[in-house]
This record gives sequence, structure tokens and C-alpha cells, in this order.
Amino acid sequence: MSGGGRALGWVAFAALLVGSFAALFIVPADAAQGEVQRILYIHVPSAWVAMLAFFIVFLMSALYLVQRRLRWDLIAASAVEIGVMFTGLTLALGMLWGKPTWGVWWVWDPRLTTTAILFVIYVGYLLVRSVSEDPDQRARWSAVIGIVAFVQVPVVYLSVFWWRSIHQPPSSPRSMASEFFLVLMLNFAAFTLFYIYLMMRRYRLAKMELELELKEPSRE
Amino acid sequence: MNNPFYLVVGFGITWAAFVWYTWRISRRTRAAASELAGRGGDTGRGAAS
Repeated sequence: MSGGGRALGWVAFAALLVGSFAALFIVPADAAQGEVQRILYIHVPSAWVAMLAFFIVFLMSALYLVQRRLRWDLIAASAVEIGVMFTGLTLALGMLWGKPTWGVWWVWDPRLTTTAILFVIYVGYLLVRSVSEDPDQRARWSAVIGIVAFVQVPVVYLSVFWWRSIHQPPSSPRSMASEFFLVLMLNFAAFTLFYIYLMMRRYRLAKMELELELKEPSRE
Repeated sequence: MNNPFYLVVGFGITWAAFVWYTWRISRRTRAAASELAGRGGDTGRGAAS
């Protein structure tokens, strides 16, 4: 890892610490929902990073199909793994927020259901990668899935507008007090920095694993 | 709705996931680097193009 990458890691770590501290101890509790509303400050940034990661997958998949360079495939695969982790976190945090506010851990609401489908689709992407042993074939299949799967991302975002949903619409400066919004933005920045750091590290690992795969005795 | 359980678990699993995933990448990177070194590789700085 380069010095710049390591520095980014420490900056991201510090930003996450400050963001969590502000969310838990500085910003006041919500008047209606009480303390549990503080989950918003990690739930929404997790969802944002997942969507960002899947957008990167879409872009890199399209680039791969145009240029056929494995670099784009490795970036896409790295982004999927990280996006899946953040989608899983989004779902888990949503359940932890839903139980005390809605009274249930899970409900087949449009936003929750479409997010669960998104999670399954990208887990499927990772499974497809694991069954193919030819890097070019794997990259081709993955790129097609990476492009088609992205259709689900706007569906998740718009689900609260398209269908009757108990999930709240997206947070904005108009829907929340400025001090709440500031802490939310702080966590957005911290999660995004951490995502960039993870991408750099995961991409480097992906390159090394590809090199190892190409050097396997059975290929020589 | 002021039960701290949900907040503790929520922030706890988030931080645990971050630490676990970073550690997992580090462990796999170290393993791949040592295997590449054993095979005379370039430790991942120019494999994909």
C-alpha cells in the first residue's frame, strides 16, 4: 500500500470516528423517534455507498465490454464485493431501526423488498464469478450482469415514490433540521472516503489474485 | 424507542463489519503477496492491463 493510500485510510478512519461520535453524542435526539433515529446517520450513508459502488460496477462493466481490458473487470468486481457488504449493512441497520419504530423487524414494503432483491442480484454476480475459471469469460459474464443488474438501483431509489411505502422518502435539507443534516453529510463524507480506501486496497488484491491465477501450473 | 439496544447493535455491527472487512483484505493481500514472491511475481503492481 502506498503512503498516500495509507494516509487516506487514516483520514477515513478519523472521519468515521468523528461521524459516529457526532451522531451518537452531539446531534440531539429526534423529537418523535427518540434515540433510535440516530441509526439514520449510518443507515443512509451505507445505502449511498452501496449505490455508488453499483454505479461504478455499471461504468466499469460497460468499459470492459468496449475495451476488453481486465483492469475494468477487476475494478467492477472489487466494487461489487464492497457494495454487497454495504447493502447488507443497510438492510441490517434498517431492520434495527424498523423494529422499535414500526414494531416489526421486516415488512414486505417496496423499498425493503427492492433492496433485498438488489442484495441477492449482486450476491449472484459474485457467485457467477466464482464458477468461471477463464478470466476473459468471467469478465464477459460479469460485465453483462453488472450492466443489467444496475437497472435495480433506480428502482430501489424510486420505490418510495412509485408505490405506497411505509419507508420515509429520501432525506434532504428540506425534510430535516440543519444540524441533523450537517451530521448526516459528515457521515456521507466519511463513508465515501472509506469506500475509496477499500476500493484501492481491494483492487490491488484483485490484481494480485489474477496474477496468481494466470501463473497457476495448470495454465503454464 | 429510547432503548439503547438498537443503537449499540447498529453502530456495533457497522464498526465490526468495517474492521472485519479491512482485516480480511489485509490478510488475503499478505497471503497473495507471499505466494507471488514465491513464484517470482511482481506483488500485484502490474498484473491487469
